[in-house]
Amino acid sequence: MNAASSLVGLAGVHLPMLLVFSLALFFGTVGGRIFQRLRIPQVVGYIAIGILVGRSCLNLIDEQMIARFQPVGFFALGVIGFMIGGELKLDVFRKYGRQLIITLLAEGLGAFVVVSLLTTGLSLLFMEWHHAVALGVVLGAIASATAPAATVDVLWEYKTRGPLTTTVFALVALDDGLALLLYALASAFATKLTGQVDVGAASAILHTAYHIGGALVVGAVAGVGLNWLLRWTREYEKALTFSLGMLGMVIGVTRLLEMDMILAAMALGATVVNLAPRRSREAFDIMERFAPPIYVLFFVMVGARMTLGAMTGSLWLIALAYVAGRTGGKILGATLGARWAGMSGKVQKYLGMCLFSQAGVAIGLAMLATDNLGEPLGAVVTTVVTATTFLVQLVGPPAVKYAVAKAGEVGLEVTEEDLINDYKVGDVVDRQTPAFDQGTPLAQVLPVIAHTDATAYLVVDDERRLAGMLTLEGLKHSLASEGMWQWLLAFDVMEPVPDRATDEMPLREAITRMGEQNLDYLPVVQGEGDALVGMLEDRKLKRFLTREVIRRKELADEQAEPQTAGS
Amino acid sequence: MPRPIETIWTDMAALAEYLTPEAVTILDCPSKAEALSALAAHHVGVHSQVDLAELTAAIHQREKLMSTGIGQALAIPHVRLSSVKSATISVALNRRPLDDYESLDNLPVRLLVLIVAPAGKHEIYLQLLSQVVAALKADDVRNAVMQAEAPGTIFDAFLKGQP
Repeated sequence: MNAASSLVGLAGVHLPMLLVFSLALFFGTVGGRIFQRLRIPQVVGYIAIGILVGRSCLNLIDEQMIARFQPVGFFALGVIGFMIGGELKLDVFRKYGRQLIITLLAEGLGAFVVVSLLTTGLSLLFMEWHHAVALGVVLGAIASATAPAATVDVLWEYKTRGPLTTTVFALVALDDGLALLLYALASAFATKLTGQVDVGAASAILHTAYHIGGALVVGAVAGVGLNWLLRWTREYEKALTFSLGMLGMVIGVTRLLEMDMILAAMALGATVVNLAPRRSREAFDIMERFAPPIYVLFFVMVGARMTLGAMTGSLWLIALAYVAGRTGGKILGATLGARWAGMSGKVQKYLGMCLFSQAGVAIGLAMLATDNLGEPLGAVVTTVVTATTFLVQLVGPPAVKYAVAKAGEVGLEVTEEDLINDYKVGDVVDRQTPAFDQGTPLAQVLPVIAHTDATAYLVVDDERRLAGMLTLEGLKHSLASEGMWQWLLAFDVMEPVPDRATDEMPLREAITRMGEQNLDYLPVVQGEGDALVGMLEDRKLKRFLTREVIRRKELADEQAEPQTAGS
Repeated sequence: MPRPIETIWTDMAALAEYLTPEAVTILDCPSKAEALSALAAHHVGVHSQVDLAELTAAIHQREKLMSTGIGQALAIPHVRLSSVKSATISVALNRRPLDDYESLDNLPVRLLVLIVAPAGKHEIYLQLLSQVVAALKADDVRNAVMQAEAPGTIFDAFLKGQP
């Protein structure tokens, strides 16, 4: 076995990279499914599996392996950034821009101030004041970041839509920028305070402006390019290649130029969605379909890299103060910010709970702090942030789920495909469809058919069991001989039922069966005796699904109205 | 109003594919049930691929729903069987009028036309029903069939519309 393609895992066993990749995907998905069954967001399941196989437990995925998977992580963050960018529509900002900025500043600065005060205060017990303050402001700045990945993954999983969802999407997108800015200022201040190399506040801000501004430019330029390419691309395969290729390029270029990768990906998504709202839907659909395995792998790796390491008592206390301060600061800031901005009561109440997640940016900034602050403060920052990430990544997603559920926004952002996947046949079957007794003469059948709009009718026996069906095509042959209508019965002209569905059958399966047999309808029965339930008719089903999607969207939009009124 | 003779000839040409001279018989049954059973037995005697028990059960199931006596002394028992591959017709003239047939016009039945079709051949089945009815509703054809005294004569009358 090639040393380059395998790594030493538990008990010295060499695991080929592709095997680890596949196992992570498989068990990550299984873990997600189990957690979903327990009504916990799937992302927690992926992370839990990662923790199990990672450095904290089995060590099947060790540090080297994690390093090798880093490009997957970058790509996953890029995809997530791109998808979030797709949510940043200009009309939302035109409408709610002021509200979003106020809320962003309040929740970000809330976490920054509370964490800075708490950790500085606590650190004074263990270190000199200038070190304590330096540590406090750096931790405070890092605390302001919110991980978009785990947060929006929950929003997507539960198909949420409404004012809280819109606000969270916008905040997690903008949050990174605020955290980077705060960190630049805090680290400049801290390095000055601790006597490390003084880069100066102006230089730090300039560097941050390059980091953020450069990313936005790269993303926007790539967005214009992708929009142009999609305009000339009709085939799905080419659109997929262009979209993934452009995203990969944005990630690569920003890594090369040391710019913010997630912001650039967001700018790409935001540019595409705002330049061509309709055409770009395809690019986002493509990415959405392509993304799930990348997410699974990414979150398994997030879990695998988590380690509690050798935490001393004082570090535990600082970590505790960090989590408590961040949670309290986010909730307080978000509540006050949403109130000042005139957002609805539900947003004020639940926004803070959606902002607990912490991951990539926070860990990245903590790593930077090691360079900026040097030992031992840098190590303290890294250990505290890593350890608390461990905790908030497990608590954050369920908190988001709780918040959006309480705000009544779950299940409102659905497509017809989502509904097809969620429904059972019993949820959509037409129970009022006319059914004829098999002894009914055609003279009585035909007037009913003339006054209803079905394309097929069911025929039942004395015990209301499905006996056959009448189709317009089949009836056509009996229409010519009017004299026969008095004595020709439904029994005589009914045709055998080509297939049937049951109440409990997943709707997806029923639709697949109809498609395979080229049927426009499928009778629905119950139990072994074929007791009739009703009819699933393609035309009516499509109408129902379209109406349901519109109804849910209208419901979400109605909930959004108080936000506009309050602004 | 009697139909023009040309259209009847066209219909008959199609019926000739499904009715053979051997499939025509004369019965002398006292009741509807016996006449139907005898007709079924005769049909199976000519078309051995048809199962008698299945055919009899299907005929009686249909009669239970509603009588196939359509008036003017005519009955058209018709069934679809999943076990048969092609459609076939048998004709029986009962010497005695069948008073218990519960026809639409409440008059006795004398002529029975049995149509047996495969379950999947819905279109042919309805076409045969329609053609038999159309042909026998024509007074000249029906009278010729009713007055015949031998199966061969009935067959000729049925197909040619004249004695």
